[in-house]
Amino acid sequence: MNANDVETALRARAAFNDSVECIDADTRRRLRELRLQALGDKPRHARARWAWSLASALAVLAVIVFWPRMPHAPATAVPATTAVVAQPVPTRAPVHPTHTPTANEIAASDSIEVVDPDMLSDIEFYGWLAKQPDADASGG
Amino acid sequence: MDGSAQTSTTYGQSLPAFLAGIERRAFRHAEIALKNREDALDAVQDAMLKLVQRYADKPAIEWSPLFWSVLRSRITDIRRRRRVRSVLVGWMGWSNDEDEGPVWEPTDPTPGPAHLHSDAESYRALSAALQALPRRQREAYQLRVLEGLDVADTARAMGCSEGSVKTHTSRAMDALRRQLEDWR
Repeated sequence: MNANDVETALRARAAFNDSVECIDADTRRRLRELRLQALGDKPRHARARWAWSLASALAVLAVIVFWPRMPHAPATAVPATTAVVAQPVPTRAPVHPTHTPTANEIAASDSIEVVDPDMLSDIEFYGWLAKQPDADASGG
Repeated sequence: MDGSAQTSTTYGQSLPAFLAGIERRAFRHAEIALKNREDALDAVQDAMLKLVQRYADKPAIEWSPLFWSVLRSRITDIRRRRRVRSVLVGWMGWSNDEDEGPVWEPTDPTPGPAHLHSDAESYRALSAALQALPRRQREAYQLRVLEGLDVADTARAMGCSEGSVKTHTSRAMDALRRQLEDWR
């Protein structure tokens, strides 16, 4: 690049820079509006669409995953007020931490249907064993 | 070029600052290339939108060549569309009343030496001289000389090799030196 080229380039750049500074107010306003539109509207709308799509997909996924595990009410549900009045409050004997239930107590309890018969015989055996005098004490 | 080159750091580090710093210069370049204000605004708007939507996550140092590349291709698209429209209008004999008609408008005549004193006249002479250049030479001159991009960034923006950038720039400088001889 010779001196003439440098001089021409400097003058060209100066003229161009001056023209940039002299852009009319209306064009400046238009450019500013276009810039704000480019920076604000489109990306924000795109982000909002993505956020809503993601939230919807997560909601559907959560329903699919957790729906079978949720307790379902019976089809013919009794109104709550009726249920409270009609059903008696179950009365249970207070359970002592060291109290061993006898076979009669277990048989009289509500959950007799679910108790294993083998377990009942074991309990009778342990009850009988508890009433026996201590072998070590008598033998010693 | 010299140290007054425009880079991404001079335009701005954040994307809003970058666009605010470059929008007027981009408008002038688009106006020189398209010779029409509304088309130039459209080209700048598209370039800003595309930069925000596709390249906002790029490093700030890359915004400048990316922006000029997008603007250049947008200007090319508009000029191509105009040519197609011009051919159609010529073949079909349609009237062209509502069209802005930049293709058929004569370019501003280069002012004589007596009128080259004011800045506006200097810019008008420069604009006319640039418009008389072949497209690739004009693009290389605008990016290398007026925007101060280095050869590598200019090559990225123009989508060509660095050797081509040097060739186009050199030829453009020769042509402008002859056309703007009155400046000296």
